[in-house]
Amino acid sequence: MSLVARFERSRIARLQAQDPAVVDGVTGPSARASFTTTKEAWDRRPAQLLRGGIRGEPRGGWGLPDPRRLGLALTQTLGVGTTHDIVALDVETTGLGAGTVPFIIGVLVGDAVAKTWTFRQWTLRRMGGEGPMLEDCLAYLGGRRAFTLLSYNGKSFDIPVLRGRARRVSVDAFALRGPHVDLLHPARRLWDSGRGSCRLQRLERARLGVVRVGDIPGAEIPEVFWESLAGTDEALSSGRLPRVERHNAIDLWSLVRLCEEVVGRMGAPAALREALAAAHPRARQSPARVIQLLRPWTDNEPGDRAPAVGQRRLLEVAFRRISEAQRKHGDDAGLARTLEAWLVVAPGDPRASERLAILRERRFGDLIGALRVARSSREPCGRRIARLQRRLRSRGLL
Amino acid sequence: MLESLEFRRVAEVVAVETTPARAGTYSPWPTFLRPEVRAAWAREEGIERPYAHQAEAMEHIGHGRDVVLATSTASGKSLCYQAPLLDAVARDPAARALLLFPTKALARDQVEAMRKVGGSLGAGMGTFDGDTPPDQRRATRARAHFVATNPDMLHQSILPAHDRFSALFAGLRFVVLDELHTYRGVFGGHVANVLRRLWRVCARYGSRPQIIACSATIANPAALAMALTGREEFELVARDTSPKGPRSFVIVNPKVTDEVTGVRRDYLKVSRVVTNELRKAGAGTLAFCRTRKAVELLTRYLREDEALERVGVHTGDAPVAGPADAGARAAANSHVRGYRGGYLPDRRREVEQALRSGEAQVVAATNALELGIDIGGVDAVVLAGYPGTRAATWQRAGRAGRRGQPALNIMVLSSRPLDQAVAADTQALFGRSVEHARVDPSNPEVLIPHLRCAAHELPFEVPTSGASLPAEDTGRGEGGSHGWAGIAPASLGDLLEALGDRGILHREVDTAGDRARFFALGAASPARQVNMRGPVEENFEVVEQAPDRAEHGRVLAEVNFEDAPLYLHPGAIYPLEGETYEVRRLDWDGRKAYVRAVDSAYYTEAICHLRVRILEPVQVRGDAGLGYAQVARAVPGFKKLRFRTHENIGFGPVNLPDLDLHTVAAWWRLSPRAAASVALPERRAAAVLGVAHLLHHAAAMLTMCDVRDLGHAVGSGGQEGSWACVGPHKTPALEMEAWGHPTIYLYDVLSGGAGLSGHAARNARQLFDRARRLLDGCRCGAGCVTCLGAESSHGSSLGGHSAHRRADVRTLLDALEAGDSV
Repeated sequence: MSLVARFERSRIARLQAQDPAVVDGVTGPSARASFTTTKEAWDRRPAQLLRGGIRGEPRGGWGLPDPRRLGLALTQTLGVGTTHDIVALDVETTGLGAGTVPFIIGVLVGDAVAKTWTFRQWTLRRMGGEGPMLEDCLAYLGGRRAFTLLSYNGKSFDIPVLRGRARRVSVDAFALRGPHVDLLHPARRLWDSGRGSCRLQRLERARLGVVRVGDIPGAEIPEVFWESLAGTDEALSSGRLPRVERHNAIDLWSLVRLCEEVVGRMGAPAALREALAAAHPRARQSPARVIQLLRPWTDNEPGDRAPAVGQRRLLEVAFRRISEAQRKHGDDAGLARTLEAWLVVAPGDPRASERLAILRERRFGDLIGALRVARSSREPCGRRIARLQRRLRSRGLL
Repeated sequence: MLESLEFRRVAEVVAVETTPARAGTYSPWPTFLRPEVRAAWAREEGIERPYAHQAEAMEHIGHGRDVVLATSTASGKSLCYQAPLLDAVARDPAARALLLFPTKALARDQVEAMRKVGGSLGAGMGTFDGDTPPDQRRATRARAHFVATNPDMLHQSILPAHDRFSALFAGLRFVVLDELHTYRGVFGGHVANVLRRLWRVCARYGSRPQIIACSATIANPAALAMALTGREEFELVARDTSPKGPRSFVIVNPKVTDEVTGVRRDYLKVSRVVTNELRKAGAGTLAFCRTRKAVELLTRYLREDEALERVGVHTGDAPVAGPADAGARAAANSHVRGYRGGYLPDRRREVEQALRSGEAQVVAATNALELGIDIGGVDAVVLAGYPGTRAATWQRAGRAGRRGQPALNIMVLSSRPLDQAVAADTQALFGRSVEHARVDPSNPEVLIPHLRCAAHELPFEVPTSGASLPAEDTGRGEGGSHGWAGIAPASLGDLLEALGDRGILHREVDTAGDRARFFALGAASPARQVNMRGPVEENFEVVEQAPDRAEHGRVLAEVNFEDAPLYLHPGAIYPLEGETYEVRRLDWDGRKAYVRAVDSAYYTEAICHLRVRILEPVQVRGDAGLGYAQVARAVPGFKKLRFRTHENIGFGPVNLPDLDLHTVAAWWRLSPRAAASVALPERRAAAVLGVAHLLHHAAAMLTMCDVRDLGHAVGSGGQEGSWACVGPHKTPALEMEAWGHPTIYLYDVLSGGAGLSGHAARNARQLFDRARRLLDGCRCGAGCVTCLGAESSHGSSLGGHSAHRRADVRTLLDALEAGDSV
């Protein structure tokens, strides 16, 4: 019996006949293009699109920052990127797991020389178009001069997805190498206090005052693509696919604007949390810069009243960072002052006590001071205390 | 030992087959192996030269041929692939190998063994399965030269995310299929299709791995390897040249206790006596039991016997009065161990280790210990009951015998008809070749889901009409990344078009119009919905309750979903390596059973009723048909049986939901006219049971599945929706059903149906032909257990007509076929 005949008589074929909706698909030849792509200067149609999707006026206006300045600020505050062109990238996909299809790729390219923003978007129109679309997109990016990639959660999601899919269709993804700023992490450090999420849309509402209208919920996006495969081109243009395209464009706009906000805050922090974010090891700041960023907050701390618990935790981190920077610098006197101040805010802190004891014993030869601070630690080190006592006894000081 | 009084009191020797010792034949290492690889074996394992068959296999591998090894247990099959693999990595660090094992435990065991030899050669290896933690998975994916996994993991996790494994697939030089014989029946069909998906992905990354398959002794290793892999040329290495000590295989029958009824002593008690004798003689012994319950009983008895012996009390059948000395008990507990599925992995590893180190002298085990886990060697293997097939018998027996030492196998037969048939004709066991393993990768119920998975991984591309595929995609037997091994491109194209028409695949024609591509839509891989070993329900955990002790809340064991009503109903005694726990509460939805350690004098056995009925006929042809069926298993109650004497001391009800399985069944009804062809009702009943057994086995051959993938039932109702009793477990009930004008049912054991009974029913002519050939092919005179099954030959009311049975069965077969108007 032929395979087809066996299939026709199988239970699978019967189930399918009863319920054709199990898997919906289209058959027959299709002359539809593999993918569509747009390329427009941001301030033309894309900006109009944006205005249609946002209620009211965003804080700071509609415009995008100067790409050259933004690039420089990125280098200064986050320590990444030696280039000045910026490519913001966002991908809409059919899900999260293995086999996810990226069906809209949007990029917003900031040209540092021409000081312009260009919007490009690729939309997949049929399954077989994935290879050509990725090829076209990656060739466009690969053909540009060096740029810094900007994304939101792209390190864990967008870029691995694009790389994997490119590998499946034998397209070189070399264009995706190079410096990459995943804004999610600095944004978390700046604004995530453990309450609420750090999703892009929440941040844009909080930081840019933007409320989207008629936006498509993220959960609906995957099905839009499956739906679009079955529909005609006319149905597509009136269906939900354009809404996803607009969603993608707005994401890119707010990504760039949030980036401006992030580097602004990090360049001139207005609160201890922001200063800590700017001085975070991932931001790769010099020891001097770390001290410069954090000292105003630790120095201004009045010693006479205890700070609130949340604030005290932040202060402890700040002291730790400063002390690390000073140790790298070899500034022993400064380090001792910092540790002393740290112990005022957090009496008996084991790390501070230990470091101060070591410093007094080894650098300053202050055995009595070292013993005092070693004893006052919440987790006293028996061996150190014994050694200090022995040394003091041998000198007749105890 | 066989002369001991105790033994002669309870059993008689039926047959003794001795095999003389055989010296090993050695060959020099194949020249292609690098010196450091040979040196590693000499250093780590003390192997200076391989056996001749190992050298032969390695030569074939060195020449790039696909190899299937089918030599006996402990003949050094692992070395045949380990050495060439290590050599390949020493030559080319980008070379990779994928090792497939049927179980996670085997994969872990093999990786440890390979690490020992290969660690110094710079080869990285790791497991990739459900037990591997995420960071280790990343390391294995990125760096391991040898990835050990199982077919389920390959199907569910590795192939759908093939882009993350590009280094593995691009460098893939070898695929090792260990324990090939386990890939048979419906599961084998799934594995075959997963391998075809693997070949496509490999072709996409530009590799074509060489296959090294290792199998236990089966009748058709090369044919199975070809069917599974879709490749056509295999070098078979089946000549075993490893040294073997002398081997004695003793078949033992428990003594008849009542000459009139022919009742024999309990086989488990006889197994206990036999194993005890071996233990006293200081022999390392494995006792293979057929069921988990038997493992627990045997472990308990052997421990009690040893403990009492240590304090100087003679043991017998009588219940033990008081507990033995605590020290003696502890010593006995470490000396005698149990091993079965359901034990937590830690406990299983501990028992394996104890067996290797010699700390445990006797281990009672189920077939969980049958596959190639390294346990060193034991002196003797006791088979408590005939394992059911000759292949399984030799596989288990082969565990005995360490490096040239004498090996002893003792098989204690039970009073089951099949066991007694072995006793009646022992030459059938020693003389005949082992069973075939069959697989049908083209079964649409198996093939289509895998085609969907494959299309999701990489789309299929076929020329629409007139156009032809590029040459590199069609070559070398596997059809490249657009073909399917074992299916001609044209038939595959037709099938894909049919699937596209039904919407099972998504079809697109490219802009030039000369190629059609087929995709599987959806973000999640269809592999999620395809379970290769049947539907997966969450396991039950056995949780200990001991409020004042540290053990409180400890998970003791796991029990399969299907087995939970049998072993974990409230009131059940759950035995675990000789200890007894009483089930206090069963949390059905939470999948937990709460147990308390008790010192129980009895164990429990659930009463189980298995029935089948047709819910909705799909196709009716005269007195035969095919339809959707329901298989229901009810557990109405349980029996309490006293330890040692096994006497029934009580009964309790069980109140748990019935387990339902929805599947497909074929039926053949004996019309009054057909029934008249064998007029005597009891002769007819016996013949009906024989026909049911024959059709079951003929269908398994016809559909190339395992016998256990199908079930048969006999019902007296004949009306649609009436229940039929499933064989062969409840013979008396089945006999009752076979009177009158019964209906024979043949159903797929797999939930949802696996297309087996349907295929058999649609090819009824071939099915009946095969059944007749099976009957004629049997050498027995009047119909025996092998050809007509146990029920038909049962020694009760139907047994007196054996002279006519064979003729009756033939008559009924003809009558049933006449009623099946295809």
